[in-house]
Amino acid sequence: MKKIYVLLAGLFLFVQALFSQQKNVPRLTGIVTNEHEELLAGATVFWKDTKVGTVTDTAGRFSLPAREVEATLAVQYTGHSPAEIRVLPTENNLWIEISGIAQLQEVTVTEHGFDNKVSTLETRNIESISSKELRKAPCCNLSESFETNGAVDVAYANALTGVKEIQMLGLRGVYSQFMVENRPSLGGIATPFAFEYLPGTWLDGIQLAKGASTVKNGNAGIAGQINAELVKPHLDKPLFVNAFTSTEGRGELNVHLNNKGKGRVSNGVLLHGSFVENRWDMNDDNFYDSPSRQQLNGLYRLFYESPKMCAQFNVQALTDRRQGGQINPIEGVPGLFAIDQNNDRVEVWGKIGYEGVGGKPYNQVGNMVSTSWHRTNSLFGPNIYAAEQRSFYWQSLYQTIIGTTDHKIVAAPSFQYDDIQESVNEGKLDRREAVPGAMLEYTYSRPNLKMEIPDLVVVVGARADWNSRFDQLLFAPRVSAKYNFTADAVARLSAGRGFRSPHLMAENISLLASNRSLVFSPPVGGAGSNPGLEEAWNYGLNFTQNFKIARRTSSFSIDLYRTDFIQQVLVDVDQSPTEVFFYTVDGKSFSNSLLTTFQYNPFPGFDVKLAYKWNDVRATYADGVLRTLPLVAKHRGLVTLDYTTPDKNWMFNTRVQIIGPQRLPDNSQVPHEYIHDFPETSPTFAVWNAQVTRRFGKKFELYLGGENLNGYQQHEAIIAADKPDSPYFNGSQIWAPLMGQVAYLGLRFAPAGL
Amino acid sequence: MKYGFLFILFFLLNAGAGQAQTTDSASNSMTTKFKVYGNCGMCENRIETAARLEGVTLADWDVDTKILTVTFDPAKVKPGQVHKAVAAVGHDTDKERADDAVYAKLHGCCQYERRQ
Repeated sequence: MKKIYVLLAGLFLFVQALFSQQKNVPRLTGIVTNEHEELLAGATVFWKDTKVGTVTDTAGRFSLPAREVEATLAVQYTGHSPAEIRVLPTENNLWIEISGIAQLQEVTVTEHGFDNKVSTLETRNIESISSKELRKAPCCNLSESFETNGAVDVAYANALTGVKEIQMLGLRGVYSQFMVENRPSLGGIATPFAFEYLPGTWLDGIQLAKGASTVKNGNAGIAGQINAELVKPHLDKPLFVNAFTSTEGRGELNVHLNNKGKGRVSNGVLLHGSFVENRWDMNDDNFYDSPSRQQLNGLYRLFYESPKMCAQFNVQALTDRRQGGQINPIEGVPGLFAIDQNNDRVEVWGKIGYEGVGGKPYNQVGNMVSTSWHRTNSLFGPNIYAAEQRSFYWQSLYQTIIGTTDHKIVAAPSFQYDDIQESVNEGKLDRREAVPGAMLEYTYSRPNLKMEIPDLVVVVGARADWNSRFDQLLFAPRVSAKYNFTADAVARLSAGRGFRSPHLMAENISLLASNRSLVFSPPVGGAGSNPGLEEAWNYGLNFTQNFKIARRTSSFSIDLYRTDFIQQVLVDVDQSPTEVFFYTVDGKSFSNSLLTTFQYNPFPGFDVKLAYKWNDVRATYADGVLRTLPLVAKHRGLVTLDYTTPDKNWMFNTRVQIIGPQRLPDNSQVPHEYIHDFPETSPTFAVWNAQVTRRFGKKFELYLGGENLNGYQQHEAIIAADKPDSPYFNGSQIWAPLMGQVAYLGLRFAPAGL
Repeated sequence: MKYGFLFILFFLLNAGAGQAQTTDSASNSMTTKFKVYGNCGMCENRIETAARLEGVTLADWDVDTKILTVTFDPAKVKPGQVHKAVAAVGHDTDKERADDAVYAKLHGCCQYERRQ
């Protein structure tokens, strides 16, 4: 008897404890109805990806423990289409309607997204930068858009030309393939300016594919691919205005006009006008810190979209002028080392795509054609550089499946043609290059029902191109694979071969901002005699894990890449201070790159990102010595802190870049009268940028920010600045900002809502 | 008899807890979410204004996900009425289709792709 009492008392206490516990844990309650608002009993309600769930009672009610973060609630009921609802922690009582017609329902997934992230779904290691990320910095053009990103490094602008170069995996930007909406663009003689011809407001997002990526668009892209997506007339605001000004003397105006139109046709115009009236000489060397610039740039887009077909037609035209260089004449030196660069460009491209060819939804056909004309006329002190390029590109892409959608296949023939006329003073570098080619790519995905995504994907692709410039058939095989351990942990690997047809003069135009003589080995002139074709293999590994720290989203990612050059043209600025040598490397040339990124969301609206990068880039020079390439930092760090208030009216963004020592070109042979000291490496330094954005209602926002707030500057930026006629004069060794603090102010306005 | 007393106590507690929960939900407002088709910030204003019926305390439409979140007092208004109110200003929901004439009068940029 007593035993039973004790047992009952125990049970009672247990039940009590259970209840009191239940009362402390916040619960999510609600009802489930059909489309006629009739209550459904016996419907399953559970938190997606968990075992926490319940079944509705006879009154259609359910109750289950609430989540402290935004989460997906799944609802299932026989004969009804399943539903998924994103539930915020503040929502505690739901009315869920599910539809009785078993139809394919669109699933909306709006995970807390970092604005700059590596997806766990993509097969390749692709980092995407969203338009939201682009709003954290002035991002006046594409090159500045990488400043909040750990994968791409932006080198400091050359004082004389103002050209900013990027680096990916420690390799120069020219080793990454640049595309605009998956179409190769702004190559050849446009290369040094490419990123400045896409204004920041035109960008809808950027995708950075690291390492050996798809061969759909050519065999270039040794270090990776950079794709810029532009805003589309049917998705952009009908009217958008952005104005910007900075203490650097920069003014900028961007206007978007879009007409969604009636029916399926939409069109829009994107206009950009900017100038820099730079009269700064912060380091007192009698040279402007960056050139004055004027750019007018316009893009017209015409779109047609129907469920089965989409087509687009685009025209871009731009003109760009730059003036910089020496400010005052020097006694006894005739003339000024003036810099004058003029660029004009017109590009026309179109695309047409069909879905569901032959009544099969998985059959897709796409065609794209583009043609461009680019002219550049420049003066660098006594040097005259002139070039004109006409290009044509065509690609036709076919996509289908083999049996099931687990096996996809893509085939695409393409043709590229470039006609380049180029001259430096008397030397002519004219060339024509025709590249017919074709690619084939097979993708296998193994579905995993538990994860609801394929957990194993393997892509095997290859392309063959015949290059008329080198009269060679180039074969580029590439493979990439990903494996999801869980939906939040993924490992990827990639390997592949890439080629590059270099445009030595255009890509190294900033070297003309010196009195060095350019020595090509073998000499330029004869067809195919100049150092040519580059070839490399790239191998990469990536591991990304998303996880929770104290129930807050965080992610960790590690990249390891190795690039091995089989053939490479080295730009040797070390052998002699009065000459630059271009020759094919005889020996090893490689790059090892490691990048670790950690992102954390400690409380709603606040994001922290920490990135560390290690680059080891070395090549064998003519003297047989394996040297680290100059102006590549071995260690780099990035810290970004972003906070958005819950009402989204205020946004605070700050980032600090730490740049480790960089090897400087060998200046030991420069006589002491021209240079006082010649350090072998640059010091470690940091650059701090910050921005505040204030939104007023839905139509208008202002942003105010500062770049290089700590005012770090390179002082002796130009060697022999006071003797611009000496052979030692050189303005192309820039390893730190030349401008001190710069403040800016901008506005964004869209009457229909930003 | 003695166990009987305990069991009754137990059930009372149980019922009490159940009761507490029901009253809780009855006094609380409810939240429902459904898809509303639209394109832009202008659509957002129109949808949210239309959804704010008597008894609706919050209506928030997300231009990216196209999901309208409505917090309402179930004693005063039902989700079906909100669907109808939104469709009346020209926006299809996953349940109600807007009148073609009203849709045609929407601003050019608001003319979202309609489901057939």
